[in-house]
Amino acid sequence: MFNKISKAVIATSLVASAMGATNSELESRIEDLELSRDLNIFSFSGDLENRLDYYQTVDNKSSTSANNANKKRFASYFRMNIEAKPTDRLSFYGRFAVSKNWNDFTTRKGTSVVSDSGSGGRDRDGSKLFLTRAFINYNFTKSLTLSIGRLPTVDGPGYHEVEGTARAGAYPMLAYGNYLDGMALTHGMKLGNGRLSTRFVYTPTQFVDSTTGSTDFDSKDDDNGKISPTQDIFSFMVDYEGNATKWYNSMNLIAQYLVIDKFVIDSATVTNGTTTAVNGNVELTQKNLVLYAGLTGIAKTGLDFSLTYKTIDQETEGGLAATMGFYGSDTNKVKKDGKVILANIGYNLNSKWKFGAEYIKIDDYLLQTDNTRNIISFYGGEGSKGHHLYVVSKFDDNIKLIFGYMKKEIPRTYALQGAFGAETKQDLERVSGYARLIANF
Amino acid sequence: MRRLSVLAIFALTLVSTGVQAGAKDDFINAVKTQCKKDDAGAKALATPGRSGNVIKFKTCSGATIEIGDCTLQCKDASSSIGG
Repeated sequence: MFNKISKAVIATSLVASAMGATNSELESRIEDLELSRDLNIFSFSGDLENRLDYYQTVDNKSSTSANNANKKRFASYFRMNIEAKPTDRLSFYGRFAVSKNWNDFTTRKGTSVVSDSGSGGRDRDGSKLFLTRAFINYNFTKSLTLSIGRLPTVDGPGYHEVEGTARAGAYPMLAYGNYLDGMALTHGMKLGNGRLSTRFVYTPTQFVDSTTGSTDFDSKDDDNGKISPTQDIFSFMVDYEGNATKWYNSMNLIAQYLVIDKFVIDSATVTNGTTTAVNGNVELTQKNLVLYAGLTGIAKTGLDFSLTYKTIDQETEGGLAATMGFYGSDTNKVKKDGKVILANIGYNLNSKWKFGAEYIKIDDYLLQTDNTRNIISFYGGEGSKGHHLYVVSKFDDNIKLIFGYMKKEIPRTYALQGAFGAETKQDLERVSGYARLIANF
Repeated sequence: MRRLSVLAIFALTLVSTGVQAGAKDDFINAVKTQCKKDDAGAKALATPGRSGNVIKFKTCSGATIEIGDCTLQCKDASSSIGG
């Protein structure tokens, strides 16, 4: 009781003292602070992942094969996010990222034993800083938004399901594996218990010919045929995000049609950093239809489920050398089609633990890339299938530990970079066990 | 001197309230939209402070977050084309 009275007396005296200041003085000071706040339009966030991967490759046909390997690797991934909203219509999002193996002081480039792992950023070796995301959203109206810049095309659904986070990218993970720069027009509207977005995304790629003496205007292939300096990648998406109902906690449905038109994959001889000869090129065209459905908290239990189904209609023409076509020796026009399926099921035991499993199957002869963090390209590689088991432990709101096991079966390989040229049948298994410690801040 | 200190505390209180106005509005809108609560019900859930619901929602790193009887979707606007 005495404490309460004391506090009341102190509070009254403080307010009385404050009132002693003139109103204009108060207004002026508050205005200064408000201006300071309003000018500080940036906010920052980030995450840091440190991980250990054990990985093993086993050639079941040959115990002496050079493919057989058993290794481990420590690595770090750091991302810093920048967000600014200078006006109600305009918002900006950026991300800087670094990913590296720990202390890789081994000899590289054949000259030095001190790599940039130990001296990067202080060794006067250029000004590289990786920008993985930088785009603006400009709202013409409440429902129509223009986006332009380096877009958040990677790590989309269901990438986030294994990490137990909110959706982390725009395109479904299997749609396209790399960052894309470009522009998009999105129309958003309320529908049922959620929001329906329809968007068109245009992300032209460019063929920059670095052959000695060439310019962008006369880029030629190895047969002296002209190569267009830009090739189109474009996409049309319908994207529905539903809010919680009595049947589920969240729902995401996506249908995406993505076209890659005459994308040039080049092969050249490089001498002392200068391209001295073009050995060949392949033009790749893909028409992809990607369907994704994801539900969390099904029937108000801890059950999550998602399914991605992708069909690929692929056409390639040309070769990287005289006898190296795209998947084989045929350098004429080759058409392939097939599908990719990825299923994920997970159970949230409580807010601290999640147990899950994934299954993937990729049909033969299809270019399916994977640039996510796993070390065995689990989500990529033609003609392969695999499974993945994982456990997420959120032992704090901002830090979690993920353990996982992956296995991939790879039935064939190719002469060049495992993707081009003559085919060799094999019975290869790649296995990975990992531990990931991820902090969000 | 004392008056200046009090003034600073008073002003900072006002400013910190202002800084969270956007986040609080976002939270209230999310509760009203996603959980069909009225304005008063949403405001009642908008508890302040570092461990309050507004900050929990703004910084959540999971797929969804439970606020009372309301399940809110966590959203990373930077991962969406067109917001």
